[in-house]
Amino acid sequence: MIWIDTIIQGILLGGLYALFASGLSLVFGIMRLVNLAHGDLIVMGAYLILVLVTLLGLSPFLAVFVAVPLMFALGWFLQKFLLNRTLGEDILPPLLVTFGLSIALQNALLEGFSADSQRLPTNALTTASVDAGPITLGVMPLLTFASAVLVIVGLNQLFYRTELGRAFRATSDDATTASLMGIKPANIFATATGIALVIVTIAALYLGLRANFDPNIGPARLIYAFEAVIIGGLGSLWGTLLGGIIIGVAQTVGAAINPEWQILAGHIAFLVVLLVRPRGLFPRAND
Amino acid sequence: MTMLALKNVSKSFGALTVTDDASFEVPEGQALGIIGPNGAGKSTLFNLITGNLRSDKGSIHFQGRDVTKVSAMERCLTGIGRSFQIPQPFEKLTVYENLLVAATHGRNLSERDVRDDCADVLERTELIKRANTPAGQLSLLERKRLELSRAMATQPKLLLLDEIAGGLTEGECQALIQTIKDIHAQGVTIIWIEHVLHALT
Ligand SMILES: Nc1ncnc2c1ncn2[C@@H]1O[C@H](COP(=O)(O)OP(=O)(O)O)[C@@H](O)[C@H]1O
Ligand SMILES: [Mg+2]
Repeated sequence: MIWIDTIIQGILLGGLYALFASGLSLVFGIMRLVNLAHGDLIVMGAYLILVLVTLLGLSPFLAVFVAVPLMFALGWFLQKFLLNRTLGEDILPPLLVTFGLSIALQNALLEGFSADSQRLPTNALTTASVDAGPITLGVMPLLTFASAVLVIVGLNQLFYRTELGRAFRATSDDATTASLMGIKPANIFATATGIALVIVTIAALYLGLRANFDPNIGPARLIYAFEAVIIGGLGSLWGTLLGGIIIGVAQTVGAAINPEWQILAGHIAFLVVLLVRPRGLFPRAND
Repeated sequence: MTMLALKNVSKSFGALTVTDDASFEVPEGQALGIIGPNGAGKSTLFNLITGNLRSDKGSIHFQGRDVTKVSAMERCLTGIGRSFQIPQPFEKLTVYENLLVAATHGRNLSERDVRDDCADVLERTELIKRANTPAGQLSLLERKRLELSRAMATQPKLLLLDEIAGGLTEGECQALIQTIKDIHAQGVTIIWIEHVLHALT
């Protein structure tokens, strides 16, 4: 029974990793941009929610609604005025610029909030749990997982059911032809990064509610996100969720065997999948 | 009325002058064929008319309006449509979605307003059965038809066809020509370039 419990905890943890990863996956899928500052943007989102909670006296769940438009705007401007300039044949400039951005963000957060670890205020709901037969599930992990599923369903709807989604796919297919059809790739990319930062904000909420955070934990979140995206197969959102679940389960199982093995077990699972399926579990047909 | 008028248009790529002092007029309703060998500058001429390239000298008037300095996108909105010599569909989008993208952005309308038109175009170009197929899975003839359909989805007044019959068999070519004749019969002015003659006769 303990094993079933461990595995279910792992699956739910996978929801958090999928939330970390979805924004990364979205941006990579549309513009082939690897954003090395993604983890730090999640941490920044958590601090933004914390500031809103402190200043406005809101609950974290309400603060998110204030943070989302701010983060969308940040993503839009970041892409339009900085990251778009780095896109081109050469893949190095976006890596260098987002790496620089990552360092700048960490230092700015350190300057503004010190290295002390913080946590978003929890309440009765966030610490509650429900009994499902022989096992007990935390409300928080359940909410995290449900949010991940909702985000992925929402993104898929956006991609395949809306005009904007069609413009995303057309631009991702062939930006030059898309611009001849009257699509403005620069704005499409800006909107995509804006949406990625909306997901980042949701990820930040759960990051901050479930555990302590400090300015330096961004890169590790980036690595979990990367691993989830690559396990799933670049560009497949459901694959990303599965990737998150695989890492989550590996971590909880590893931790159950020996608490020190938690992180390592996740990375090993990633390496094993990479060895068996170098292109991930659901690779795209072409490219 | 004159649909298109070029006056003394020139274009060079470095030392290579591709279009040299070209002047001609195309009256509304005409179907003009241009034949030239590979490298003669046919595609370049189309790029100048659509605004994908800027001319070095001369002027281009569309329906009496000077469009020499107007962007490619705005020229598309005013009614200049084209097909590309090498079909460039969005491979992962379905045939229908390819048309929707062209129609919504090329005419600046919302999806609701263009759905029926796009279905009509597919009906006319005989691609309606393939409407929900990803464009990447089409045969060459179907890709050519999609090029044509996508240009038609922007409801052009002037349609530029760049070697649309190239690479097709005689039979496929005849079928495509019939479709193009139908489009012309509906009042669309057409300039069609090929490097082989039989398609144009
Ligand atoms: N963007 C460009 N830069 C440099 N040279 C070009 C460019 N586009 C076309 N050319 C050259 O111009 C000439 C005419 O090309 P093109 O208009 O494509 O000919 P056609 O369509 O008649 O085969 C060719 O010699 C080609 O190499
Ligand atoms: Mg040509």
